Amino acid sequence: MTEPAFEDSAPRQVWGPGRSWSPGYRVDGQNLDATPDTEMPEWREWALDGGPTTWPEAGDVLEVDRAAVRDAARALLTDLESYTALRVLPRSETGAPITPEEGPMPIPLLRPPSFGQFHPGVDLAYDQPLLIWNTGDAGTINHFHAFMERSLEQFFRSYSSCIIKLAQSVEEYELAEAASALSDLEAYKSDGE
Amino acid sequence: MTNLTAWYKGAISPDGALLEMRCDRDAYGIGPTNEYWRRLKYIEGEAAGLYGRELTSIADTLVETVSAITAKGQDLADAWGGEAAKEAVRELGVLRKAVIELAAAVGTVGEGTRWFGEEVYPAFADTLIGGFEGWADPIWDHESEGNGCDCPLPYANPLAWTGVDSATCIRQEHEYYYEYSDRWVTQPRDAIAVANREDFYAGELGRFVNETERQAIEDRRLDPRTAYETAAARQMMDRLNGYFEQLHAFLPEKAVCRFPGDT
Repeated sequence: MTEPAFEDSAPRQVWGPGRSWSPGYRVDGQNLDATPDTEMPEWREWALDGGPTTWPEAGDVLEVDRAAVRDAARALLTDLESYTALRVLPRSETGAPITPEEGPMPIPLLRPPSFGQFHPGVDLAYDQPLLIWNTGDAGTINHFHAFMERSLEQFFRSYSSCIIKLAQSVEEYELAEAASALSDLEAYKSDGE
Repeated sequence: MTNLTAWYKGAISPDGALLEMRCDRDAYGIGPTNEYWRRLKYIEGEAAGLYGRELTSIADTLVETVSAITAKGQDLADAWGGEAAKEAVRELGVLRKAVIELAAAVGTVGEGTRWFGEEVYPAFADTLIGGFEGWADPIWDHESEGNGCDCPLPYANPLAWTGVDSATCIRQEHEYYYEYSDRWVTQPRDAIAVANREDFYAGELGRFVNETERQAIEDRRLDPRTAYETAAARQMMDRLNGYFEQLHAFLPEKAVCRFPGDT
């Protein structure tokens, strides 16, 4: 009797997500001590404990160190500029992306992978990943992707707005203008606008 | 005024859980023998790994932004006073809170997706059970003029002239029953002997064979090899779904970001 070939093909056991920074886990399989191979990233700590909550408050005395405020606004602007790669190209009236004449090209976000309806759902009637068209429900990860894009867009807008207010308060209008240019999800303003 | 963006983790859809394993062939009688193969085909494992890495890198950038805002918020509070300063610093604090929330969610979803794509998926990618075994037509023993048995004596269907199929080999070992089966049957020699069916039911795969299928095997309408493959595919899918449940549990319950109002 020929035994079926898949009999001994059980997939190996896989540790759960985030194991590399969990105590007691080591990549080499040894569990001699509780020291994880990597440190838990800050974003994961925040996901677990809600993140830092302490925040300073400005004093009541009416005074302003213009240089310090300007430096703070400039530093925040530099930080906002680091997101250039995540921005999108502006689109023309026909919907075609307009590429910049100079400067770095933005790298568009990867589209979310297909998990079907989170579970690998396949609509057998159409041999397609399962989509519920009337609700737009395309799965957990796809929903999250849409949320992330909306949030990043709003983040750029709010961050830029904060910097503009700081710059305007110390009459640094060029700085405010530079921040204003970064308020959009789009990588740059096209000439047509 | 704040601008709110939100995402809530959905429940795992019961429809997406264990599979209906069914033989789903196209008009030409060609196709995979169970859904497992198809479901696996639609998981973009490699893309999931890359996507997860991209998300964690975005989360790392957001963490740097939180550091920058924290440091500069303190500088501003020290260097500036009065109502306008209070408002500006408070607004920056609201922004920081939203970025913390966003970084936590993006990083966690990213790590989960990366884990699935890079660690779980490869463990399953090569274990296609009952998938396409080439694009050959299904082999029925009366079509191949033999039952595929490795008996040294040549096989001849003694009832061939009557048009009735017989799949009994000279050693009488391989009595298979697919003349009434609607299943795609591979070479009979690959099938499981009926004598082993009790072991099959009692073993680990037993819980993946339902009563209807057991009865069909007893009635010699379903060949045990196909039933065995289907059960093994269900078992694999069950394991894979277990990992999906782990991924689902790892994701944050919700992500709600309240950004300060823009100008």
